[in-house]
Amino acid sequence: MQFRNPISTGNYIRHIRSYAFLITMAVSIYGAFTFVPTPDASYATLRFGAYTGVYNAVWVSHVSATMLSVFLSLVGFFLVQGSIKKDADLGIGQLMGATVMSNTRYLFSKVCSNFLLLATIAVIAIGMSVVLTVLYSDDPTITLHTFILPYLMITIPSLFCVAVFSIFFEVLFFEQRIVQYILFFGLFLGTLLYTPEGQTNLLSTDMLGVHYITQMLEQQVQTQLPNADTLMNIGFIAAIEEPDAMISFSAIPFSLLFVGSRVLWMLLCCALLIGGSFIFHRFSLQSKYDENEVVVEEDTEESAQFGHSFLQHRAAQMGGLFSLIIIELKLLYKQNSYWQHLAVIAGFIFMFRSSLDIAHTYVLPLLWALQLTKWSGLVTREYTYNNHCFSSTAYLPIQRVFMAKVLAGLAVAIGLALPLLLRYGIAANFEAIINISIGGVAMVSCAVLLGTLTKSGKLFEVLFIVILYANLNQIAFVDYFGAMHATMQHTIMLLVMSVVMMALAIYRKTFDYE
Amino acid sequence: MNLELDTITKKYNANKYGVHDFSLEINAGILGLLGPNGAGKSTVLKMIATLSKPSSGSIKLNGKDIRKHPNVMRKTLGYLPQDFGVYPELTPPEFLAYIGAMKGLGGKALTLRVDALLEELNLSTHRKTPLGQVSGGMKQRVGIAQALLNDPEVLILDEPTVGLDPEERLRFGALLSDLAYDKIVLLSSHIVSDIESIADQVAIMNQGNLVAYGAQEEITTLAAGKVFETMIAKQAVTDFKKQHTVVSSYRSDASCKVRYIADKLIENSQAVTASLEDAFIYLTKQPSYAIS
Repeated sequence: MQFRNPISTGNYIRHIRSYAFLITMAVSIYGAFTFVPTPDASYATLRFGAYTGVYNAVWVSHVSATMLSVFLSLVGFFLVQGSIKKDADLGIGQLMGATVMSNTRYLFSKVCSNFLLLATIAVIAIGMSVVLTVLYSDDPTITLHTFILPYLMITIPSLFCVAVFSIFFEVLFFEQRIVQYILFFGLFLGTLLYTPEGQTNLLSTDMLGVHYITQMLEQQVQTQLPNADTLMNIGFIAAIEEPDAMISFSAIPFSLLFVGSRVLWMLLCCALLIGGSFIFHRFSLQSKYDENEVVVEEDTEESAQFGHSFLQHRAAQMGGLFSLIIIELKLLYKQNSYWQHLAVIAGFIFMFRSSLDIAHTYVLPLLWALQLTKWSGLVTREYTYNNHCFSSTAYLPIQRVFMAKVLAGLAVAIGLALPLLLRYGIAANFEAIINISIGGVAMVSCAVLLGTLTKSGKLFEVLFIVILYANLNQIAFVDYFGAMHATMQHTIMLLVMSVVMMALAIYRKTFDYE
Repeated sequence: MNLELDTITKKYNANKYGVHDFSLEINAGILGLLGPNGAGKSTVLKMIATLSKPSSGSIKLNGKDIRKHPNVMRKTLGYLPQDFGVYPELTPPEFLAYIGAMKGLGGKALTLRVDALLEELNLSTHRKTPLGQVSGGMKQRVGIAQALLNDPEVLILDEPTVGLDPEERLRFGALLSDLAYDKIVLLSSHIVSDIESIADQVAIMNQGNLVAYGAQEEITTLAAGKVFETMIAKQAVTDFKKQHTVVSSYRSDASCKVRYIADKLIENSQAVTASLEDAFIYLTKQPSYAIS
């Protein structure tokens, strides 16, 4: 394979020239800023009991490498996923399919471009970490190899694995974007939560490589403070009332075993990709709509008569919203696969049978997550399928077409929450009903605004997954559907935000249409 | 029906124009918009269809400025874009019902009209086939059907004959002629024969400018006396094409009959009657040509 692969380069350039990439850059810089809280911050990201690290180059590089590995992996997958589909949609894939290029080379090119993109974000975040160290540290001395090593050992291999999985899952489940999301989310949670403690062998299940670094840091705390409570917390830990006590950490030595496990993960990913190349469709796509195996042969078709009989039936101009909403719902329903219908039925049963708390905290957001691509596609689907010209030239496009999409999206949100709403209704808990309903409105408003601004569902999908992850981790700040007993102030704020988002979306859409 | 385009311009940046000072008054009938690829035909049609706004100038439908009141046009528009997609999950009747609902149509008559259109466009046998599975020609016919759903007063068809077989092209042309009795039909193509057989008026565009407008006979007159035919040796054809504007060439055993455009007659040539295609080539090869 050539070192500078034109496919990887082309794909990479396409990404970095997109509007969404600018937003991602801005988010990356902000993320890097928040990953290592400044000494006077009221939150923490890595904490051992009531202790945290002295703000110096070692602490900044270790914490930001860990946080980057976790969060950029989660967000990055959703950012880069879909590059093969893009090739298929643009027709480039069919051109590639007719060349001598091997499947393995094509797939590796895709991995390289995805990896390059994620690495670019990582490099910007690392640069930000250097700036922060210089600005906030009492000792701004930076030893280059000590500073860079955690990123090389932890973050970079993680991003490579993410780049491979984004392609591998697409090879396996090309048409099923939501399946790819679920698989990666499961892999992410699995590797993060179910790596046995103290596991540092070659066959570590820790794809993100964060367990080793956190355990080594924890050991340093226990050595310095043998009798203190040093229970480790990782993530965004808000509302710390009293500042943490500071411990000075030394650079972590990366054992050969750990380095070996990182290399092994990357090799395993390469092996998966090579395996995937054997089953890659090579853009010879049998549509899922071919189930009934009807083959349309142009030669056997009778020519169209183009007669006048249709002129006898003049359809009335009714202008009603209702029929448009029904047909939008029908379209959303048809986009669901068989297993998604089953999952919805299972979710309904769980909502009825499990405790109200479990149903509200876990079942509802997971059930909503299954509809993620429907919401992200509410206003972007017409661009994906290149038929926005029809909605743009429709009669009263904002008042009717756009509103029908919004209301259909909202109907899906409320419809999926119906068992829970019924139970709360029986229990006369109207506050919970309001919270869930406003949660649905907020989600749809967010999907519509981000879709309208970017004309892509990606940004909303990334945001939704991050919020879902935070919700499952019981972070009350992002609880948008009142599962963590939201206050009235929180609910009102959410409602105001929803109204503002919807107003901005309508304003932007009006600008687009008129 | 009256559609007035008054000095419309579409400017992309300081030096790049999609359309420049384009003026035209269109009444009921078929207007054929001819031009080479990139001439600005689709840009003009998109501006009329309210998909894009002119940078300057005005477009008025029955005296109403559609820049300010786009819904005046949208309410009465049938539009077939040059390139469009469909939802692969939907069947032809579902897709037509969806577009019908977007246009604000409803009632039993819509179902009857969809059924009749499916029948006339030979789509009824595939009414249960998802659009993700149909051929390109069938998709184009679905596109034509959606444009005819609402009895449009203004029918805009951007390269509509793509994917239609020769018989279908003729029948479609006949249908458009009948529809154009009291409606405005705007038909764009870079294939002259598509326009030649049916258009009442022809507008020729080149590099964003309107270079000629009028009845077919008037347009053809512009190339009168400039079209010739000659027989030359096969080997000489390539050189001849480099030196002259060749409209067509027909090979026989040893020689080649070449039809070309020139200001002066070349030796061994004879003048022939100009056709619309000759005029089209004559006008679009001379960018400085301006409408009087």
